[in-house]
Amino acid sequence: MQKTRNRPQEERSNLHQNIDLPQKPGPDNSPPTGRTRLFSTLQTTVIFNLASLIVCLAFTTEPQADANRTGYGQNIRLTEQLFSNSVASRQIDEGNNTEAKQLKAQALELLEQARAAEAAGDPSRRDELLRESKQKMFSAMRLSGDKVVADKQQQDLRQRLDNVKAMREAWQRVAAEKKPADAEQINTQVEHELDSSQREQGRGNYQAALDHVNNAYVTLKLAIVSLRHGDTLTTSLAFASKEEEYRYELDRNDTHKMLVNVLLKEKLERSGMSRMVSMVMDKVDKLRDEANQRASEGNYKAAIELMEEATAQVVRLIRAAGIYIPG
Amino acid sequence: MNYRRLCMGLASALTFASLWSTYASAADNPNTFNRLFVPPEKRIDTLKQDGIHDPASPALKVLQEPGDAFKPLPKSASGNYVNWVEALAKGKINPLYHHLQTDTQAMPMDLKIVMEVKGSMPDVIFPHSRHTEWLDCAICHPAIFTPKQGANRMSMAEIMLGQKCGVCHGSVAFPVTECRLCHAKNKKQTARRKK
Repeated sequence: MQKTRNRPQEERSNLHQNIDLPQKPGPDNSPPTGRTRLFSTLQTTVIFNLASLIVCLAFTTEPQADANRTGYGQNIRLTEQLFSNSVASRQIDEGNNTEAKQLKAQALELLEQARAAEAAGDPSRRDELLRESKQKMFSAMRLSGDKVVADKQQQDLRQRLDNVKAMREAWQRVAAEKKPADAEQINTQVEHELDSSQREQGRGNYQAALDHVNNAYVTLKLAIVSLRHGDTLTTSLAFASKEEEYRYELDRNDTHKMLVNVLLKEKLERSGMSRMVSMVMDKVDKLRDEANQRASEGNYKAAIELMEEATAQVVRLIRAAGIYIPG
Repeated sequence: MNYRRLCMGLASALTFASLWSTYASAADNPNTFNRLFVPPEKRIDTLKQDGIHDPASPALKVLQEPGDAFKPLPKSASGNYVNWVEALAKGKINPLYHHLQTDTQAMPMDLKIVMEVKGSMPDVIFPHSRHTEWLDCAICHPAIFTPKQGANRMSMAEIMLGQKCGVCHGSVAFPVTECRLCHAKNKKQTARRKK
């Protein structure tokens, strides 16, 4: 569009005359102004665009029946695979569980009914039958996995016994500290449940054994929760030796070096900071080497000071890059 | 009508709106010093882009986008940008504690563990209450942490490599870049208490 702002009046009129637009007379039948022509143009453009949009929508909207057919096709295919190719289906056929086999037969019958509903043009009935068919098959699968279920129960029992052992040790420490009145009662109850569990395990009743262990677990958990309510325990930074403190400083320095990668990764790629980072990290590595040297000589005090300086360098680097780490 | 004035007014309004949205997102982000952090609305991936869901799958049309699901939940500055602890506390979510025994309730334990750290970094406060609202004791004890005071010396390096706290934090809980959430007890408080 040509800018008409600074052109002389005559030239602007000529430009307008070159545009062939439907011309509406003004309200007093005077010749149409430029503003009126602009509105007319806009009106025509909007109407044309709306018409185009309606035509496009008409051609691009998929008919509902096609979408349903595609979704149904995939659903039936997956259900058929469940019956024919799945490991669980083979387990049902090869196993001895008659109830599982009956459930699978019922599931197959429901699948056939679903196909019939599809042929009769009843999609909602078809979907309902497919769902029921799959649910029946899942029920059959759950009944037939004897060995799998038994292995899982034994694994759960072993894990639970580990949990109970740890909780029991924790409970004994807390009870020694707090001396609750019902300590003996809780100990007796837990002992009883564990003995019952062992008996059931000996008979091969893993689920019953697990239930007893769970009872013991819940008893211990409730006891510890009530005794420790509102406590604050502090792990002090008291090192047994300078060597232990030096190892701590090594970990601390490792951590901060990792933080450089974690926090500055995107910045390093984007803003060309890599030169600055590598200069500082070289300095840090030299301090670390010197600290290692001191430590090997037995001078852990000097080694610790050098490691502290090395870590401080990394902290300054991270802050200089615009990432604030507290402290 | 003066179209020039109208256009200038529209341009001003658009400029103001974009500046305001930048300010608002910066105001929502407590870490405003870190100017180069990507704003939250850009970080939540869509299902098509998350690298987990098959973008060609027809099921994608049925699934709800994370951005839509997370909109009514309290905001956070990292991870998937939802403050899940606050969401639970305010009743915005009501998760099942046990997938089979649906009437089982959580048994939160109000026990804090304070871990002193070297240097000027604030000490760590581990709140059992916040964790036991979601998790059973057996999740962590004894496989990840020994339930004994002083028996779990750990380093940030281990955590960042996915051990100890890093088993969850950085994968299913907020990442370790949120220092203040754990390093929450200033040294002055510790020194004052010791006096």
